[in-house]
Amino acid sequence: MDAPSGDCQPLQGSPKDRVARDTMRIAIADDAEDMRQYFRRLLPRFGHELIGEADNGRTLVNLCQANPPDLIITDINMPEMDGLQAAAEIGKTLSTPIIVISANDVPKGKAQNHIVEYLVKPISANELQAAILRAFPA
Amino acid sequence: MGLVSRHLSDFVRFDGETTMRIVDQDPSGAADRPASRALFLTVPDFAQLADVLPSMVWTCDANGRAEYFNARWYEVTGQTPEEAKGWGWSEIIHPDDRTRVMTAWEQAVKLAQTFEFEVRYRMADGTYRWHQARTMPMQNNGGQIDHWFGIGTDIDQSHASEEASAAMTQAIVEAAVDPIITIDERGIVESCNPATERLFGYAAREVVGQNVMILMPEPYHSEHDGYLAEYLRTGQRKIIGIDREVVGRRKDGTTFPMELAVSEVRSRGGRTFTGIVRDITNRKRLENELRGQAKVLERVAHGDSLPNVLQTLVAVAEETRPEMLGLVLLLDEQAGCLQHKASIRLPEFFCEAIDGLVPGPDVGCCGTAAFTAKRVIVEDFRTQILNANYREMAERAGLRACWSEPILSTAGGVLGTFAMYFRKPRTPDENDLAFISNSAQLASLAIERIQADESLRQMASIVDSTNEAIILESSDGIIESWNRGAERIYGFSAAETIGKPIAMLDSDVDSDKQDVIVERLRRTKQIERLEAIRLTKFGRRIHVSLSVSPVVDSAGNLTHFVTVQNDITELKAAQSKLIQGARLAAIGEMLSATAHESRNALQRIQVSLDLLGFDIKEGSESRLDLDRIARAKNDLLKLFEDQRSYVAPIQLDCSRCDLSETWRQAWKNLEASRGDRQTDFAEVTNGINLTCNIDAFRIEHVFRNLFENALAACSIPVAIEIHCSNTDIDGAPAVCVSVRDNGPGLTVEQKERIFEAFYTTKTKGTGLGMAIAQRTMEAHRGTISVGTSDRAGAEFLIVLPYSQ
Repeated sequence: MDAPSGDCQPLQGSPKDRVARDTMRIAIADDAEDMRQYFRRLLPRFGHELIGEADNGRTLVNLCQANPPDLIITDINMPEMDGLQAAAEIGKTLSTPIIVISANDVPKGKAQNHIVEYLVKPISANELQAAILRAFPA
Repeated sequence: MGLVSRHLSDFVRFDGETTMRIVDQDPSGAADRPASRALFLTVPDFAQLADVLPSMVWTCDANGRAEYFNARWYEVTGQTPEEAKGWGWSEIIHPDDRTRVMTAWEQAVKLAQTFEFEVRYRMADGTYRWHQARTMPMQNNGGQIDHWFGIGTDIDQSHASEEASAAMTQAIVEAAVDPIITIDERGIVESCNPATERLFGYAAREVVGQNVMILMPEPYHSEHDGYLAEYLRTGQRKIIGIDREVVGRRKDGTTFPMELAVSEVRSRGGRTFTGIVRDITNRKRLENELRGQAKVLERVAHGDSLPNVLQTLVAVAEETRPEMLGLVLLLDEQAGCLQHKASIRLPEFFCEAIDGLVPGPDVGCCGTAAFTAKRVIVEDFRTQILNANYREMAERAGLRACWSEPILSTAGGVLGTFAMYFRKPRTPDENDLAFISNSAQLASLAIERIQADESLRQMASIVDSTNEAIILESSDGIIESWNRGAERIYGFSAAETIGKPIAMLDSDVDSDKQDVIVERLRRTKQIERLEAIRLTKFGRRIHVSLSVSPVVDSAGNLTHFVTVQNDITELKAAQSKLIQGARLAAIGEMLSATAHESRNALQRIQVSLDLLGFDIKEGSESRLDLDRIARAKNDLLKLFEDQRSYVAPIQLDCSRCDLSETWRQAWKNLEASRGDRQTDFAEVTNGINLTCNIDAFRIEHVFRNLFENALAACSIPVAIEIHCSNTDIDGAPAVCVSVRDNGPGLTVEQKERIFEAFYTTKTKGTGLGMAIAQRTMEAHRGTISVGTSDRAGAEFLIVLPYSQ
């Protein structure tokens, strides 16, 4: 484990640095407890470590800045701060890849703020694993 | 009394010295015939008898000297016997009559003839009174005249009235407005009145004593003597007592139409003919003018063109008034100028100069008349104030006078001018003014009538050429007129509908409503607009919009209805499609919201499926149940997504792409579902340019849909063939991609309904795939359709424009 040390260190560790690693340190954000529970049970099964959970964008930003993950998976529609706003905020200090999962249609235009995947619900466990792998191609 | 005395003288004969006999015999009998019954009287008896007679009686000797007078003579004349005897009686004869009477008396005595005369005798009071006297010779037995017997009767009263009557007749003749001429049997004028002098231009003395033929032109001039002789010979009347229209000739040689009435008077001196002449020049001219106006009106009635009618107007005016030159100018309201419309004898340069004249307060005769809307009379261009330009022009055209009358419409607006030009200075008389005013009115009538006709003709052609049905029906609903538009809309020809009730077009829908409308129209007499469902000749129901106008006669009675109808069936369909569209949009919004929420719900199902999948052993019964739930979830997902993409507004994300890449990608994406089925995918692109501006993702979906259907319909081996060709969409270049499979093909019903939403032949599927494909193609301004070739298998044609 190459745990990042220190708070708020900018642009810590590019995804490429972690290519060889099987285990990802992942932070997730979703306002639905069902989904958070899903990630809690699913990610370890795929060999990843869930290092932080948030039920809104603001909490996600805080916990990422406190403990930068290898990958962020976030919902869009959340109270206080939505997933896209959070991604923008995080993107200011970190280059962590972000997977967005939403019930909304895929927005037009280029992905911003390190959003590497945009998945439309419902997504299956296999699809999620494939997306995580795509975020860190060999 | 006179009668009695004359008879007495006829009956009395002297017989010797002392007696006379009174014979009772016919007075016409000869004097020497023996009397049948004679009465002999002695002289004293005769004297006694004569004295009681109311007439004056006298006798004379053979030489004419008076011998005896009765008491009446002395009483009336106041003469004494001594004064009267011998020749004394002649003293009381009026001096004016004396010579005539004495001469005649001497003559009568000489010839021994009965002598009759009218004479004025002086009465006892000194006045003179007219008397009628008769003196006849009396023969003795030897047949010699030995006495004269005379008798005189007072006729003063009747003479006076005759004189008065003659004087009155003379006065009437003198004062008569009409010429009165008397001629004798030879045609020599005996008298003529002052009216004759005025009309014929001769002094009376130049005519009296001349043959009346001097007052006639040829051929009457030469033939008159012949007419007269013929009449005298045969007594056959050709003119006497009959009014005839003939031609008279003035002293200056001019002729004029006249009406002649001739009467004949027989007198002792022979026969006299009296002719009363009436100058009918004005009447004739008026008749000619009326005939001319009738001719113009006839032209108008026959639908002649305006220029022809106005030319006729000028022609007939010039015919009735040969000294004038007519001109009609019409006001061109748009150009604001007068245009030359008709003239015949005016010089061409003059007409050309006047053409285009802009009316003004001092712009020649016609320009001013058109400007002021009042008649302008210029009696002499040389002396009357007139714009110098026009004076010079008139001078050059040899014109001296012009009277111009504005042609006014019924509303009082100026339509143009009717002008009469003259080569000599001229002042209009009453007839002239009436004529020019009539002519202008006639022109106005012609112009307005022709314009009305013209607009009617235009209306008729509009009615005939319009796509709208225009139907005229009587107030009781019988079709009277049926235009081509009506034929087009309803399929019935005019012959099939005219005379039939309008109800023949009623459908079973809302005919009650129409009764209400017709009733309201009768009441309000105002235009109604409505929509109705009608029946065509072929039994098809059509939606029509109607505007119904009531036609009301001058008395305010409703006589007809005019309905203008449009077939709005297609419009109605489009409207209902639009309403459908709006409904779909609402459904779309709802589905969008539903889809969003359903994704979350489906996600939760998915989460549970995944987590259960970790715990439930592969191949167990529970695992099969889990798979069924997963499939149901997938079906639900597909249904939601399909519905959503069908109703959601399509926003294309276009870029220039090669079409072949999209279909290849679609085929490749189906790899998994194709599995290991044997398939044959063939492309024939014919080297055609396949680069189009498209939303590649959506077009890929269209192909994917077609391939999925083919895979579902065909049995192994599945063969799909793509064939490209060039085509056009409304003339714009386009590419056509045909996709054909080797399946059973489409039934007629499938071909008709394949693009309907929710139509499906598969047991699975939402039935939205082809409907979405069609929407996608329409969004690209392209088409998708079922192929029409009779080759086996299903064929779809995708047509895309090269540029949008």
